[in-house]
Amino acid sequence: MGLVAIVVALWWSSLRTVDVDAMSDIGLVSVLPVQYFAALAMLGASFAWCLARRTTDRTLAAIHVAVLALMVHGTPAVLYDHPRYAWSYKHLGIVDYISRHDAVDPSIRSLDVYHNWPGFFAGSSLLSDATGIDAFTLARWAPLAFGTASAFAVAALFHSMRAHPKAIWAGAWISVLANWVGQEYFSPQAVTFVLFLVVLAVTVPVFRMGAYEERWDLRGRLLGPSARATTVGLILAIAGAIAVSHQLTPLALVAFLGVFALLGRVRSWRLAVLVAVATVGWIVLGAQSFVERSLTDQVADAAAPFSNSTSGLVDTARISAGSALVAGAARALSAVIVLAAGIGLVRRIASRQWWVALAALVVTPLTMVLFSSYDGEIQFRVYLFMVPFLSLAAAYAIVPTRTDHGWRVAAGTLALTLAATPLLLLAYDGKEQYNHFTDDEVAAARSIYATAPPGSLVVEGSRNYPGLFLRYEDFVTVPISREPGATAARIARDPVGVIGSWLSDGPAPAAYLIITRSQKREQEALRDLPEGFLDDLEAALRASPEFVAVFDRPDAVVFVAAGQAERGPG
Amino acid sequence: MIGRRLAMAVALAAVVAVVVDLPVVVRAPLALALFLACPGLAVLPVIGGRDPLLDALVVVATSVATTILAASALVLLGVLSPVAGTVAVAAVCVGLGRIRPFDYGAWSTPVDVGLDP
Repeated sequence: MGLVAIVVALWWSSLRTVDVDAMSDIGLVSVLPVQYFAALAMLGASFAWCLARRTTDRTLAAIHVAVLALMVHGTPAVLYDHPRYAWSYKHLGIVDYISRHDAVDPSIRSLDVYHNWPGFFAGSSLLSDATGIDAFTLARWAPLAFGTASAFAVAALFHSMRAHPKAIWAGAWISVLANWVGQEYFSPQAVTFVLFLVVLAVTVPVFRMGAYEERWDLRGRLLGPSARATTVGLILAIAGAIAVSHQLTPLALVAFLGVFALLGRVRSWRLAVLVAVATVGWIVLGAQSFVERSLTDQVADAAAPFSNSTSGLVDTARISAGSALVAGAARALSAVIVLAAGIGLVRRIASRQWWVALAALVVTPLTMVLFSSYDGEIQFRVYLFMVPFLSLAAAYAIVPTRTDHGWRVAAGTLALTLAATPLLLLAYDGKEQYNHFTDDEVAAARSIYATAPPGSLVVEGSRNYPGLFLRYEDFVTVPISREPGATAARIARDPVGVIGSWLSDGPAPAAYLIITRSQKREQEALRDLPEGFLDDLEAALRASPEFVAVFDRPDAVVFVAAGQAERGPG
Repeated sequence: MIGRRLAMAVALAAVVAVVVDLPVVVRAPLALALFLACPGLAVLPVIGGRDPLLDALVVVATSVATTILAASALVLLGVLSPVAGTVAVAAVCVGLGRIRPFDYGAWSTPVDVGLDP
């Protein structure tokens, strides 16, 4: 325990010396001091020792997992003053919409999917408004809360599945190391993933098959019909919250409940059907307007599973060397975890212990590829839902079979930790150069969204900036990086003329161009735009008398046409 | 039982804090406790508990689900406000806290033919 306290102190002190502005295109790793890595190594060694002991100290193991989650998910929250990820700000925009309107608009033209699955946003709006805690603060610390809760929910699920005591905590540890996809930010996916794990963790012991086909409560007591109804009601309430918050997670929940039932281990058929009814019920009744508009795309996706599974993969030949290294680290980490899981399964087979159910649970999320590309993200979501069971299988690669000695467990834990941790730091924190935002960038965006008249046009260098978090429905946004290549070429040839016509000739009551540091870093990494495009554009507009920089700080600039500047911000 | 009564008391205190708009330093912990713990604490004795970790997760998950469902219902009706949401979640909490724990009758030990035989 003392060593863990030293680790936390070392981690905390290491963050005081970090210069975030000096980050390179491999992310946080490039600026984290040696004390940070020493703290991680000490934690890994301490956890290995914890698992190697004859009996597992559950509290101590849980503390190790919590500290690992703190070091992985808490580091960005401590280092940055604002939430990371540009898409967090879209979510903040929906919370802002609900706080202003007390309602959602399912037929709204922009970000309508969130209005059709409003549960997370309505809950966040209520939480923020009732507590008085700024939604920005909630979003900043959300990854730490959701990341830690996921790790413990994974441990509870493994406990419910009666996994080996060492496998429970080794699996929870690995689940933190394996999860590089960054879905624990302020989002519906993050909260529904935790709820999904809790539903499975409750379902397995309560609906476990007994010799007399009876059902038991969480204490192992025989449940009567009314108690059973309460437990089912509880599970359905959580499943209902999932169904109104997220499109994909309820489908994953139905799939897993179905697989549990198919395996003959858990009597979850009826529960799976009830959750499916709740899910379909919401899609048909609550999300009708979105489904009607996107039905054609959904049908096309369902017909193209291979395309779905590859559509979100980045072309590493096109991006910068640092970004290619980060993408490679993510793929390597996935490979390491899958390899370890494979070894774990082989060990289970060799020692004639249960493995079919575990293998089935590992592959269950792959079925999601059949139904949707999920806007190019499906493979990441599949991996997210595979992580818990991959982690349990990987844990069986390092925890005892009947003959293992403690030092082998320690060596295995340490080896896997040393292999996975550097890859995780690259994969999870590797895009931080453009996933974090400075005061200037947030202030620049606020200067537009807080004051511009409804119907204003906002031209963006790219979408990667803290935008749309206020009055988002009042604006039309045009990210240059998503325009056709010919348009970018036209802007490059005549920046003043093209941007001038965009900002001055349209029907919008006001028009702005925002260029930020994070947009530039993103484009240097991903190269959707030609090299130096945004710098050249900014320089050209600064030199032109036809534009005025109404917000001008080192990390962000907002231009308007000179005529609009003379008329005032409105 | 103490947990249930405490949960209901905190729920009512949170309603008061939000309705009279007490300072954030008082309102935030009470409202956070209401939205993240009270409904789960109120219902936990009914469903039983065996494992402290799972119990804690069930408490939080039940409370978060209650908050999400109550807020969703109100937002669909177009009447979501801090007061309405807090009152709705507190009402559910009190309702859950009034469910009597069941008489289990004969205690027995389940036969373990679970996932890891």
